[in-house]
Amino acid sequence: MEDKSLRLPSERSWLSRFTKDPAGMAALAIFLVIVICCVAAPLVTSYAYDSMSVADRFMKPCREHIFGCDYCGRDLFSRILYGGRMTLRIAGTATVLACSAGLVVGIACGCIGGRFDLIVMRMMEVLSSVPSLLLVILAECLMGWGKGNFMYAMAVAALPSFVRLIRAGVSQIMGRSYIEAARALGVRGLGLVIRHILPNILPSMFVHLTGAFAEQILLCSVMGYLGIGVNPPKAEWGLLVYEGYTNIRKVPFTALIPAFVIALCVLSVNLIGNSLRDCLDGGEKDE
Amino acid sequence: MSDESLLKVSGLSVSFPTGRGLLRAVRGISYELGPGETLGIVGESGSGKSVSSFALMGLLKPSAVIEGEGLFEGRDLLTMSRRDLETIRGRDIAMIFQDPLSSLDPCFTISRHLVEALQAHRTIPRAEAEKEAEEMLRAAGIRNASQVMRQYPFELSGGMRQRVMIAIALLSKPRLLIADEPTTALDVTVQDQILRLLKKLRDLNGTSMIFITHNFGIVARLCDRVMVMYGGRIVERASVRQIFEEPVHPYTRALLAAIPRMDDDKSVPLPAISGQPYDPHSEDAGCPFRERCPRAFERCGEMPPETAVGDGHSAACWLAGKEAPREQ
Amino acid sequence: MTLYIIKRILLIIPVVLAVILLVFGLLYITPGSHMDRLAVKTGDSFDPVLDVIAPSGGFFARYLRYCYNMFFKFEFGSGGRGVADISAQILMRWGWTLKLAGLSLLLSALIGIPAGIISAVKSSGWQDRTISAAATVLSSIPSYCLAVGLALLFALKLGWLPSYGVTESGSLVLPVITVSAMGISQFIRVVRAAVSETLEKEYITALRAAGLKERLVVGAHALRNALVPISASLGETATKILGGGFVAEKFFAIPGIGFYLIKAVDQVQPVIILACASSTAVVLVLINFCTDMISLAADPQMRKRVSSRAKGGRRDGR
Repeated sequence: MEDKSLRLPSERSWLSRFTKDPAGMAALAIFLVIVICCVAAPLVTSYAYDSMSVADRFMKPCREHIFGCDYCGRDLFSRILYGGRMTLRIAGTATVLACSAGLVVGIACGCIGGRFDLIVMRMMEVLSSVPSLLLVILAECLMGWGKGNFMYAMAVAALPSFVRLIRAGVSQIMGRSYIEAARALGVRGLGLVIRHILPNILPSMFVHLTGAFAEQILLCSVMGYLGIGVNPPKAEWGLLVYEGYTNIRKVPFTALIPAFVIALCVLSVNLIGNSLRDCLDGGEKDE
Repeated sequence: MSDESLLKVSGLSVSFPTGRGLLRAVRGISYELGPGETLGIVGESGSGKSVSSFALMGLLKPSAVIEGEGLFEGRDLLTMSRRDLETIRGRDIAMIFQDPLSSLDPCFTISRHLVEALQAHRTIPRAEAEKEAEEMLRAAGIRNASQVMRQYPFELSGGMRQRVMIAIALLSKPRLLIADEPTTALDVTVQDQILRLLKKLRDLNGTSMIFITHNFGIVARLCDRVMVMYGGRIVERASVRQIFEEPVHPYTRALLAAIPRMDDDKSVPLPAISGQPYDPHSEDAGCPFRERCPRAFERCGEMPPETAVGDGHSAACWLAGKEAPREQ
Repeated sequence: MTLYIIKRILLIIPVVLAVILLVFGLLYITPGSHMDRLAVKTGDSFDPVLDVIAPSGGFFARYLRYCYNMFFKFEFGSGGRGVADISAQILMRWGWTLKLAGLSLLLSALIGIPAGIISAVKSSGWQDRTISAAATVLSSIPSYCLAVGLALLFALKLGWLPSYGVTESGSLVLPVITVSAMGISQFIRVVRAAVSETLEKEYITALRAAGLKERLVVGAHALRNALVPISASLGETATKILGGGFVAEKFFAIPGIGFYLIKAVDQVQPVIILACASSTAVVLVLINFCTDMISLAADPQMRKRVSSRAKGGRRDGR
C-alpha cells in the first residue's frame, strides 16, 4: 500500500517528462499519422491496392495519384497504406508475442532460478547467435510456404532480448530489501510478481518494446523485399521497394517513396524509444 | 595553528543542475589548514563533506557550478588550468577514497598503477620506478610486495587494496592528503590497521591531512581540529578536545549523544535525530538544522553567523555562547 | 588456460551437430511443407527429400551419414534437380560472404569505434548529439532502402560504381557501405555505452586524483576497460553484419551464401538449403568462439577465474 503512493508520482513525472519532450512528441505524431492512415486505408484512399489500369502505368505523382502509379498502374499511395497495414500488423503481432512470451519466461527464470534458469538462458544465448533473418527464412520455408508462419519465427527471434531484459530486471528487484520485506509479510508467488515486480520492470520494457518493434518492421519488410512470405499482388512495404527497384531506371520514385516511408516510420519508432529512455534515465538521476 | 596556512578555502559553494532545479551541495564554506595539521570533517551523507574536497581537486563533473576560492600555497586550485591542476594532483595533494574495491582499475596490475602515478610527475625509467613502487608498498605494510606488484586488484583483499591506495597516494610525498572515509568500507579489525598506518606515515612525512568521516571515534584518534558540516554548511568548528568536552551546536550534540558508550544505561534507547535529512534542493536561507532542532525558535529562519565561543571554537547557532554549553 | 581453450574447442562440436540435427529434424517431420512439392515431382513415396540428401536408412542413420559426409568428405548430399557441385559452390560463396562481412566489419569498426568514443567523451556536447543522431538514423534505414539510394546515385546517375554482380572492379564498394551503415550504428551504440559507463567508474576519479594526464586516463584506462563489454558484444555485431550481408548479396547480386540460400528457397532446393544452413551454423559457432576468446583476452578477471577453474582449483571470484 505504501509503495503505491510512493511510486505513482514518479511514474507520472516520467510520463509528463515524455509529453514535454518535443522530439519525442513529434516522433509520436509522425508514427500515429502513419499508423492511423494505414489502419483507416479504405477511408483515406479510394483506390484498391490491386486495381490495375494499364493507362496509368508509371504515372508521375499528380493530384489523382499523389505518389503516382507503379508498373501495373496501381496507385502507389494506396499500396503503401495497405502495405503498411500488412507490415505493421505482422511486426506488431510479432513484437507483442515476443514481449508476452518474454515476460512469462523472464519472470519464471528470475523467480525460479537455479538449473531451469541456466538451461533457458543457455537456449536464449544460442538463439540470439543466429541472425534473425536466417531464422525467419528457414522457418518460413520449412514450416510452410506463404502462410505467414514467419511471424512466429520473428517473435522467436526477438524473444531472447526480452527474456534477458526482464530476467535481469526481476533478479535485480528480487534482491532489493522491500521485496524481502514483502516476502516476510507473507506476500508470495504470483502476487509478489504482479504487485511489486511488474510495475518496476514495465518502464524499461516499454523502451525495449519500441526498439524491438522497429527491428521487427525492418525484418518484416526485408522478408517482403526478398519475396519470401508475402506474395503479390498483396502489398507489403519491402515488396513495394523491390517492385519499384526493378523499374528504377524508368521511374526512380516508385522505389524511393516506399523506401522513404519505411525509413520514416522506423525512425519515428526509434526516436520515441530514445525519448522514453532519456525520460527514464533523467528520472533515475534525480532520485 | 601556524601562521602560514597550506590550504585556505574561502566561500566555497558547489551546486549541480538537476531535473528538480539546482542541487546545492556546498553552501559557502571557509576554512584553513596549516602544514602538518590534520583536520577532520564530520557530517552525515549528503552534508557536502566529500563534494567540497572533490571540488578542490577538480574531480567533479564539468556540469558542477563551483564558486569561491581554494588557495593551496597561495595558488587558487579552482581557477587553475587543467594542466597545472594535473601536476598538483598526486604530487602535492593526494587522495584516498572510500571504496578500495572500485578505486583501482581492474584491468591493470598494481605495478602499473604505481609506476604510472610515479611517471606522471617525474621522468624516471621503468625499472627504477618499479623498485621505488615496491619500497612504497612495503612502507604501506605490504610484506609480499614483489608478489602484489604483479597481481590485479581483484586478487587482493579490501585491506590490501586500501594499503595499495595509500601507497599510491603517498608515492610522491604529498604535502596534503585528503582521505575520504578511507575505512568505511572495511572490516573493523582492518580499519584499525589502516588508521595506524595512516597515522604512522603522516607523522613520518609531516603530511597535512583532511580526514572526511562520519565517525567521531576516528576523529578523536587522528585529528587536531574538527569541522562539523550539515546541509552544505559548517555548523561548528573546534579542536578535538573542545568538540568532545563542550559541543555547542545542537546538531553536534545530537551526533555525540547518538554514540553508544560502555557506561550507558542499557534500558534507555540511544537518542536519534528525528525528522528528515536536509533537502539539498532547498532554497531556504535559514539555519539548515532548524526543522530537526529541539531548540529552534523564530530567529532560526535567518542563517546565524559563526559565533566564537572559545579559542578557535565557533558555532553557527543563535544560541552559541548565550546559554550554558553543558546543559544537555 | 590452454586447457580451457581446448575444452571450449571441443564444445564446438556438439553445438554444430545439434544445430544440424535441428534443421535436419525439421526437414524430416514437417508435413505439408512446400518440400512436399519436390516429393510429388520425384514420384517416390518414401521421403524423397531425405533420399536425395542422404540415401536409405532410418532418421539417425541418415543424419549421421550426412554429418559424416559433411565433415570428413565435405559433401552436402548428392545433387538434386540439376544441381551441380554443391561443395564447390558452398566454398566459393562463403569466400564472397566472408569477404563482404569482413570488409564491412572492418569499415564499421574503423568509423563506429572512434565515433562512439568521441560521443562518450564529449557526452551531451554537440559532437555527442550529432553522432547519436547519426546512429539513430543509420539504424532506422532498412539496408535494402539504403541500397536503392546508393545504387541509384552511384551506379545509375553518376555511373561510378557497379551495382550488379562481381565482374567489375569496385563491385564490393556499395555492398560494403550498405552493410556497414548498420554495423556503424551498432558499434557507436555499444562503444558509447561502454566508454561512458567506464568513465563514471570510481577508479577513473582515483586515477585523475593521482595526477595522471587526462589523455592517459581516457586513452589507456577508460578504453582498456571499455574493451571488456565491447568485446562481449562483438559476437552479436558480427552476427548482425553477417545477416545484413545476406540482404546486400541479394540486392547487389554478390554470389555469396545468402544469395545462394535465397535462390534455393525460391527454387525449392532442400539440399542446398540444408547445406547453407549447416555451413552457416559452423561459421556462427566459429565466430562466437573467436569473440569469446577476444573477451577472454580483454578481461583479466575472467582469465584468472578460467585458468583457476580449469586447473580444478576453487573459483576465486574476488
